[in-house]
Amino acid sequence: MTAVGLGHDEVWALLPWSANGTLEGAEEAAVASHLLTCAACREEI
Amino acid sequence: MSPMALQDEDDELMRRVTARDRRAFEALYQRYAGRLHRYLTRLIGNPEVTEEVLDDVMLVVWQSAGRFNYTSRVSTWIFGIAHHKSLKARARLSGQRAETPLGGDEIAEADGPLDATVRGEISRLVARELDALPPEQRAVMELTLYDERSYREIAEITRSPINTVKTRMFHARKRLAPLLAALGPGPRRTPQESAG
Repeated sequence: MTAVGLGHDEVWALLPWSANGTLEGAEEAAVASHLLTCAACREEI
Repeated sequence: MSPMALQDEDDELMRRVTARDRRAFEALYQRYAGRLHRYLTRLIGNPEVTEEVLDDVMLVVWQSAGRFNYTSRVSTWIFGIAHHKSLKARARLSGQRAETPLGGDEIAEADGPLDATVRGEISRLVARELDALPPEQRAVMELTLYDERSYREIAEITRSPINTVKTRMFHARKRLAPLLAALGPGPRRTPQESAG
């Protein structure tokens, strides 16, 4: 699976659907990799 | 049961409902009434109107089953009907309900450490602010948080482009952010509590 590169704003917009477990593989992977480095998004989750 | 098996069963029930099978309709009702009731309650608020709209939605399902085309999920189709009906009901009710969105002062008062009373008060304000969201934003929040729908399904249910769904969620979250931030991650204790 190739992780899509997503910017902070795009990831932030997807967080509710990451939290409810409905993101598709590539998007979920992109969110997960962003969360590793972004404290603001981690807090939001 | 796997989601795919549930969808196959839904499709089969819809075929039987189209053929005017009342027992199949009852089974479909049992499957969806609870979920629909929760969704409609959150969007409409008024319990009597919620019951009326739920009956209305299931009547449309019974009458229009033949129009279901089996390309989308049955649950998406039914929630699409419920969404449409709930917006109409809200519009009808909005004339009777005094909606007072929060002013900045009320939110600012919540600054600083919170005791249980204040936290309770803020939770109440969050509920009120959710009620005050534009219906389309509220619907996206409810379908995401409580019915665990993907943004694609929500686009289908609300008959909106995917970007519109994301934009509605964005605005709803921005609006609720100050209150949610005031609530914070967990209960906080203040020194005054023991002294009181």
